[in-house]
Amino acid sequence: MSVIRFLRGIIKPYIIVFKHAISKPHTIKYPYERLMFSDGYRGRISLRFEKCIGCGLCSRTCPNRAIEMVEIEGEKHSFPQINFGRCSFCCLCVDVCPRGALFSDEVVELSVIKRDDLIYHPYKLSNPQPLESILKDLKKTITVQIEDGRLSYTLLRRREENV
Amino acid sequence: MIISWGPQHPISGQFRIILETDGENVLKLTPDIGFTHRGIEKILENRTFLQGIVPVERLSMLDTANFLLAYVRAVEEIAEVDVPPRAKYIRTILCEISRINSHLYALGLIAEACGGYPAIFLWTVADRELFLDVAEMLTGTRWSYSFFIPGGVRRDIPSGFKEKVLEVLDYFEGRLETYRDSWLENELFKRRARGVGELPLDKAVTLGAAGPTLRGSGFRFDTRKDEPYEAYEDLDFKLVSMEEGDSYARTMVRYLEMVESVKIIREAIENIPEGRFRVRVPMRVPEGEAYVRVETARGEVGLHMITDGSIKPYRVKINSPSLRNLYVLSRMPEFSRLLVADVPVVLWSFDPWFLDADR
Amino acid sequence: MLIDEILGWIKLNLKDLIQIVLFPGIAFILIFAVAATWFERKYLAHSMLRIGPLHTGRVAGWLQIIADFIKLTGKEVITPRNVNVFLFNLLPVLSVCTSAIAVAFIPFSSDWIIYEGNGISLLLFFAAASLTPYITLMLGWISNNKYSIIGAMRVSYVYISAEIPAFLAAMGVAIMAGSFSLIDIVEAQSRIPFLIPQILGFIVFFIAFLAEVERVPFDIPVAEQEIVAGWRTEYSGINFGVTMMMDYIPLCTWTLLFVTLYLGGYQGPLIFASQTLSNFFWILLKFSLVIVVILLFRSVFPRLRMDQTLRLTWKYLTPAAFLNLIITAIIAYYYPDLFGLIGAS
Ligand code: SF4
Ligand code: SF4
Repeated sequence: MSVIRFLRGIIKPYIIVFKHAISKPHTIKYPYERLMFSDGYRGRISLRFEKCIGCGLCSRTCPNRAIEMVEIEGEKHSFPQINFGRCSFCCLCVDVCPRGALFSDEVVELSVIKRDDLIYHPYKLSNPQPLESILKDLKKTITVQIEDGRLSYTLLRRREENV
Repeated sequence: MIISWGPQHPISGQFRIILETDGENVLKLTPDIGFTHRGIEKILENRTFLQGIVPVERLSMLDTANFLLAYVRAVEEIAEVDVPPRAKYIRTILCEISRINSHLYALGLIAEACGGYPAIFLWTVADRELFLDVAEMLTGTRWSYSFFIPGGVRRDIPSGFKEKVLEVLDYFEGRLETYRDSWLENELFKRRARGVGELPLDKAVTLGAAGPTLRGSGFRFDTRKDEPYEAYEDLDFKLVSMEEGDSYARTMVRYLEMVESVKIIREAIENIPEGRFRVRVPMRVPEGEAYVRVETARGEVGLHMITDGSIKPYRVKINSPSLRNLYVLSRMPEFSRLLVADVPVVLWSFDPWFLDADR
Repeated sequence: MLIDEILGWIKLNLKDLIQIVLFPGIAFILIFAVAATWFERKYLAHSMLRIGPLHTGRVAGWLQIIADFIKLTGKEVITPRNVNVFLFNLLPVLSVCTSAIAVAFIPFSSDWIIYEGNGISLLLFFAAASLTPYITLMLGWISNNKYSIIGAMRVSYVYISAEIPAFLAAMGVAIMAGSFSLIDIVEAQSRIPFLIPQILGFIVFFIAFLAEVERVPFDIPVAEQEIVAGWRTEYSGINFGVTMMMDYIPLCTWTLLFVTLYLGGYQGPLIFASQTLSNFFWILLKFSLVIVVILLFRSVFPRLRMDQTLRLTWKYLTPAAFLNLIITAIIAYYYPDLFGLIGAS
């Protein structure tokens, strides 16, 4: 009896793993395909320049002191400048802004060569680069789904959308 | 022979064990922590109550919601605010998702620690992705949610959330069976983990083990039952414990807790009450003191907060489960025979998270 | 003229040269090592629901292995302090050579074998294959590292305890075929492979040979989670590449022996016009199937502990191999006709 149980405990795992080996992999080929996030994703922060009243609440709320209020010549009040090297994307600044001047989108591709480039001046903040121009190779976008059925990895597949 | 096992080691993590061995037998085992000390407690003294939710999560990146819950509840207790029931349910759901995330990773890691190159390690990572999706839908981020604030939660449940959660849970229950068949019932894994690193009940209690380590030794204790918080009082779930006290029992406790978590999420999402999801908490919290206990994936965390009436806490002290479990690990060779090959298995059956041991 | 003499010699020994340099010899082993590395990476990746190497070389990342090898050659070779530099650099190469020798005794067709070995090629195979562990042992020992020493000691334990049951199981086959010559053994399986009459020996040999080739669940000497990389911890750069190749060369030779002893070697129905080509096809097919089966073990099973491995080999495998040997011997002595039934001598 114990021999049978032992053999079962050897052969069954092997079969399960083999089934996985011949099923479709889950990898998303990133620069060509990209996972799409749901609405309200907390990614890059951008500024609606004309809405900001320069109250500085965002700067005081930021837990990581990533926001600095900078003066801009020709403008009456100061504007937030975000250092994305310090930002943790908690989006407290977005929540706290009384005018809704800050918003977050689903872009997370923020890497740069020089560290100073991570400091976004209000002008840069208010002109967010669209995703397509950052990821030039992007061909399809993906959302993970379960299409009927338990226990099946293969059905956990992608819905193709146009960018 | 003295072996420095870590911090540059394939599976040690940000952590080191100094092993004194005689051939393959381990005579003495000294955990050496502190590689990731960031002074979170001091940082919290310099943040307002709202800002504090970000650093406190960095204690445990796998189980952010539960650690944050301890902090938020401490603030609420001092400020004497009543959290609306809807917020309580949302918190419970996110906490259980967080627990599943953490346990899945622990299951993968113990497989990795037993050797080979087990496929289950990446299956658990792949399935965690679904829960991250769910959490992303709710909170807007996949990883460190910063979702609970004093007085409630930051967002309401989005439309379509319930269907998505139920779908994921259905799928995940099937996957749990796959894990059981392919790894927990794997005879070779049983041979590696059964009877390895046995922690008797009296030792577990006197040395102060926490969480699944304690329950794996047969001590029926869970803060969610012992002192129910949030919505756990209304929900029906079993307290999981195993008698054996070995690495296999600890792994099994985590596995069964995942099964229970699925049930909790199901029940909570069905019975979620209507109403507000947030109440206002003043910036200035009155002078006071609170000690709250929250059951995280690794065991009970105790957070002691003292306020002095300003906008920042005066002092925060965090009693983290991983540190207590590492102390148990250091005493392990006294009452249980260990070989060099057992060290990774026992270590990861304790599922320590060195960030919260170092703080 | 000298050149004429050399050409004449080459012409005279053309077949031997092709065998040594190309087919069962050096080129085959190197190509196998590269292909097996690639296949293992892809296969295990798919079992984990990943893709594995993808871009290099357009088709399924096949150039990635070569790229990695080139990268390894470009890396700095670090020699630890207080080691014998000459031995430290020589031993990896030496171990590759010694473990590759064993392929010389495997018949790929009745007339395609590098060295028949005067009718004792099975014994010669074991002699050649068991040289490698000594070199591995030395290699770990001279590395002057605690992990390496533990790894080296584990090598000696595992190899010795696995080689005895493997040898005893192979003796059962030798009795049945009535010869130590691998060609005779293959010819004796023309009607039915020894897998069926020697089922006990087959199981023993299979487990023991997994331990011999350091495959999961017996990859104890290089246990990554316990002792970093075992005996090869201190090797870096191209030396590391060579020690990695040592994983695959014994795998190649031992799997070939396994196929030869139990699965009928090169026997199989004629499918090409030439008997030799068809023999090559059958042995390579069986060989690949066995490789595919055992490569997946790595992502299914955990590694056994040292004491568990020793208990398994000494307490179960060795007695089982003896039992198998005794039964075979009794049958061979009293009822030799039974062997005739299945086509053996
Ligand atoms: S997202 Fe958080 S960390 Fe980043 S700038 Fe806003 S408040 Fe600061
Ligand atoms: S972005 Fe919003 S919070 Fe920040 S200064 Fe402008 S208006 Fe105030």
